[in-house]
Amino acid sequence: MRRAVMTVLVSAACLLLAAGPRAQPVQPILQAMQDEMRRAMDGLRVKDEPAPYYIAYVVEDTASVRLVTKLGGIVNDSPDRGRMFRVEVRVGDYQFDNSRFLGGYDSDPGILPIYAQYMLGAPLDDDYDVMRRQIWLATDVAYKRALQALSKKQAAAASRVADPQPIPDFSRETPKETVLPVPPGPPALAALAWRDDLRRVSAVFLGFPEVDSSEVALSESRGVRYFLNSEGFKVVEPIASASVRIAADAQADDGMVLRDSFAAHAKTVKELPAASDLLARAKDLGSRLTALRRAPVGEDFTGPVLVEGQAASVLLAQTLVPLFLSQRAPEMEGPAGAAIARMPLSPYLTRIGARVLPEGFSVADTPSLQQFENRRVPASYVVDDDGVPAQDVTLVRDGRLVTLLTARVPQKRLLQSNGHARGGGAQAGVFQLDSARGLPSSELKAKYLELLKTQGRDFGYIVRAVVDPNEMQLSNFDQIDTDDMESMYSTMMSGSPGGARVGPTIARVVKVLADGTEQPVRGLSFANVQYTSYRTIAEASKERSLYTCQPPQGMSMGTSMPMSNRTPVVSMIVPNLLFEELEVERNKEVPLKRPVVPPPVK
Amino acid sequence: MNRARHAWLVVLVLAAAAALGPTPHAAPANPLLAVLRSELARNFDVLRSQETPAYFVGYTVADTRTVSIAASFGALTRSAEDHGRVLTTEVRVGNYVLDSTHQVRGGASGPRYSRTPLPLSDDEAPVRAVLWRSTDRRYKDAVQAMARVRTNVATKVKEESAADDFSREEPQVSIGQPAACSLDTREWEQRLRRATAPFADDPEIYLAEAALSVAANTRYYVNSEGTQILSGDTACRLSIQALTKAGDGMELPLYVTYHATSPAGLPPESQLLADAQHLMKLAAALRRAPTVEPFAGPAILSGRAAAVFFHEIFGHRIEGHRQKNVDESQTFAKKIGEPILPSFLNVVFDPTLAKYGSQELAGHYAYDDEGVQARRVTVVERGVLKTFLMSRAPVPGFSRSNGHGRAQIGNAPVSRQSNLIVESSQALPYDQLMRRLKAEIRAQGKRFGLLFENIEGGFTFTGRVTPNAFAVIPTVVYRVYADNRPAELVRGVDIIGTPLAAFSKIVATSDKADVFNGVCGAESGGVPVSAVSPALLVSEVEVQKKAHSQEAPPILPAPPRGKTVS
Repeated sequence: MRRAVMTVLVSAACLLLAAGPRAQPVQPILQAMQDEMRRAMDGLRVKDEPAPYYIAYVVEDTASVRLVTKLGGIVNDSPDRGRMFRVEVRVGDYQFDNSRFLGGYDSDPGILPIYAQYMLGAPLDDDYDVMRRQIWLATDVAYKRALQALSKKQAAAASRVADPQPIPDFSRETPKETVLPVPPGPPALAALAWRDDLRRVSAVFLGFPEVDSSEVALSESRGVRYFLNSEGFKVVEPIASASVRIAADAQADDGMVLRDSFAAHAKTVKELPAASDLLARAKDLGSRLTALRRAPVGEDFTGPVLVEGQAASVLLAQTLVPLFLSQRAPEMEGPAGAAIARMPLSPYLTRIGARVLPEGFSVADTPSLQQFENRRVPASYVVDDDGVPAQDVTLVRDGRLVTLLTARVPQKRLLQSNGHARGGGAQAGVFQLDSARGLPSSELKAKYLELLKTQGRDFGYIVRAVVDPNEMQLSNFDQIDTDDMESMYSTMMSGSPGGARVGPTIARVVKVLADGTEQPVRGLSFANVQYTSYRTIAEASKERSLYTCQPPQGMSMGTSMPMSNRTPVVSMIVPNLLFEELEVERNKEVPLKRPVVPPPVK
Repeated sequence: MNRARHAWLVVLVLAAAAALGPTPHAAPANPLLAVLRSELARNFDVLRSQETPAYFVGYTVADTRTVSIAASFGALTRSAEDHGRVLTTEVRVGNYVLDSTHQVRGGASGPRYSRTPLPLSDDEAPVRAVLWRSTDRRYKDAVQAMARVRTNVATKVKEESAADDFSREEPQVSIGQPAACSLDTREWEQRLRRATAPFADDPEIYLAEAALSVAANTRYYVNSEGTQILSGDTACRLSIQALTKAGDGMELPLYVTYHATSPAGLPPESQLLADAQHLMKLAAALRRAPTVEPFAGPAILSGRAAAVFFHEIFGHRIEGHRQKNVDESQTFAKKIGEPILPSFLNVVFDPTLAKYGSQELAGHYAYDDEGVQARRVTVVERGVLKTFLMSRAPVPGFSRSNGHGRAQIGNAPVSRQSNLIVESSQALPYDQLMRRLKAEIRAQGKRFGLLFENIEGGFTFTGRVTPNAFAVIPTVVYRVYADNRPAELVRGVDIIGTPLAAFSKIVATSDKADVFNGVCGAESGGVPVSAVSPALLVSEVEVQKKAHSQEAPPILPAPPRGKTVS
């Protein structure tokens, strides 16, 4: 398999070398993008108003499916095919333009202006004329909107005292063409061949009557992304992502709901765990939840906590990764604008050069990493959403913060992009944390027991799995009713930037006694994890594991349109971590009564 | 596969048996219906004997297979197939007089909603598991709601409109056939490409789309009162729409829509091409048309325009539940027995009617979404209001449903329209009606009158980006002169004033009715409806200039076409 991939890569490289990317048959869609961009840059102008200084087009041509099964039955298997395109137009200049400004548009009762705000459907046929006509119209609308926003932003700026050292709105980058080999023809999906395997995996839960609901889902997305901007950036790259998820929940007799899941991400379906592996995972999940129903409830605890494997990855993805993202608050007219300007961004913005982790710890984001321990790294990538080549970035060296991950929205001291524009803002790709003094993981527990003893504690907690919020969120769609919509809405509205608000819920945790005996407990969450918590890491394992998940959304605040429809994932490569002080607490969730009617499945 | 075929045969045989003579309470052989029935019985037996007992449980399963195809300017933009099964569970506690659905005054009472995906196959275990969980959640919600209702009833003043919360109805058993439909997808993709290609010739048409959706819907309904219904229907909707802009920025949308119960009932390609040409001509004329100045005077509403007008302005006001909800204006709540329309008009809602002339009607059904048999309801007889459209939510004076409890899957049914039919005993041939208009213009000393050729409700735009308009939007309007000058197309007309006043000013109608088929959106979701009306002569209608888009037409001309790719 791997050899086949290599062969393809090599032959594609040969093709590129032999012919050069320009000699490839030009895709009509790409040709339409190029021709219309040239025409717009040359002639699109309203009298006495600035012409566009930057235009970008993106077309994403994808086929996708979410195959969902439940207790042996298929719930969804409808594939979706679509071509979406988006236009970005900037007026002004790199220093001050129409971007990063809220409320910049005049309200208008028309239908056409709406077309500037969304990713639009492009023709599925390779039709040059129709594609060009759509781009023409969308560019026109986007340009008019950009002019409105620029003039409002200028008016707002005129009413404020000027910043003596203003930060530019948009970074200048060296143009780069990146044309990667892409499969010919319409995108093909492999997931549908998994129907029967997935049904069998989901049927495993028929054997666990105490599991209340369960779902096994396989998602796949394949296609090609075309990106072009007026600076000379050009990207043709494949879109390939796949994931599988087994999620289940049960309820203890006291009403507490217990959730757990297994999830795996990859670039392609065939790199996902095999059906036999999934069967074993499902059985494991079923028996674990069944046993957990009778486990005692954990206690509120502040002190040393050992966090292992998937738990370390998800905890860090949720609470540490967001700290490394360079973000910038948008501007707005009036008093609300002042409030937005004071919005909490990452506390790391002002801590470059300062200690953020204990000595000996280093952090890097390495999108170029293709393989880890003979496995392909799912989140590795070549160029970001803006076409900027992905850079490997050292974020923390020997405990001190070096820099942050950046897109093309500059921040103080972070003026250039390091190729991390993903999903509407800066985002991590392949996030690695490691310790120069890592211990073999077998010794880590002994260290932990020692630490507990030194602190005179009778027990501690070892956290082995955390509920991946994205995986559980999907399974909430199990049933939607009025109450769910209200709670989803309030979650959405309470969302604030800068990482997790409530600490992640713990799926698997054991209470460990001084003699090393372990007792599974249930019902615990991390309390709000502060950035200072990471300075209390005492030890880490030498071994690291790879786990890929969806990070919390970076902050775009509607100011910069994501130039991609893809949901970014981040591959976490982290050791087991022993924190000297972390806070776990009992779940705040109000327990529901057990169902009145006994379950139907015997 | 064999099993599936077997199941089909059984269903067919059963349907035949049902046709020969209804055998109430016969065990259904449809496997899904059997699971629904037995899980309902199992749950209801336990829930009815709780401390706060459930008195009603109902399950609706909607199985929908949809094919949707769209093309724009000659290129395919969408071609998708989808299959989904969704469960809606209803549990009521309390009793028929006062139950958990009772409106809590002063409380936030959004529409009730419950939607749970079900496996696409009839496998018993997963279906039962989903039903059980859903029933438990709905029951717990209902118990909580009932506690709020009891407190509310005890602490607020006596309600003005005292009526029961749920009507008692005869249980119904009707086992029909699951919907089936086959469509030549490739052929239709080609047809829609060809039908939209002509629009590319006009650089001032900014949006152009032909869209076809074919939905095969099978509904399963069972409740604890003994009702069991299996019904299938197929709805094919085809629309062509185009949007152009006048020099002052005004957007001018135009539509043609078709409805049929099978792809064979859709118009041939020659018709679609003719429609496209017609829309292009109309678009070109509309761009140059003058805007209308504020005006009050006589007008004719074409049959189609009148049908939409009646549906939007009249139909929604005689939906029964609106006479009870304290947040509604209750326009007609106390008008039963009083004249509300001219005495030569009847307004009938008849869901049992499948066709009007040769036209298929979208608002046709045999049982409503509460399992109540559809029936013809005369709402207005010789101008006098007789009754309301009723679901199982009684209003004072009307304790029973008349088969108009409808909902999009997932929503709780409320009273909704079906096939609205306006009947007139003062019908004139159209040319005579036009002469009457001219006479009216002269009599009122007006410069001109108006002809509303087409009005769109807020429910026909099927595109991806849809403005949520519930207003009545005149799209094609002419100025008619009393002398021999030809009628003149105008644009930007907005109807104002109390729309109801317009009904009292209906003077006469034409002798030929037009049909409008569409999907009507309201609090219980989108439901297919029809409206049938003759053209109306109205002695006075008031119009003003419409607020319109201020965005200028595109700066650059349309890109050059036909460039060959290097």
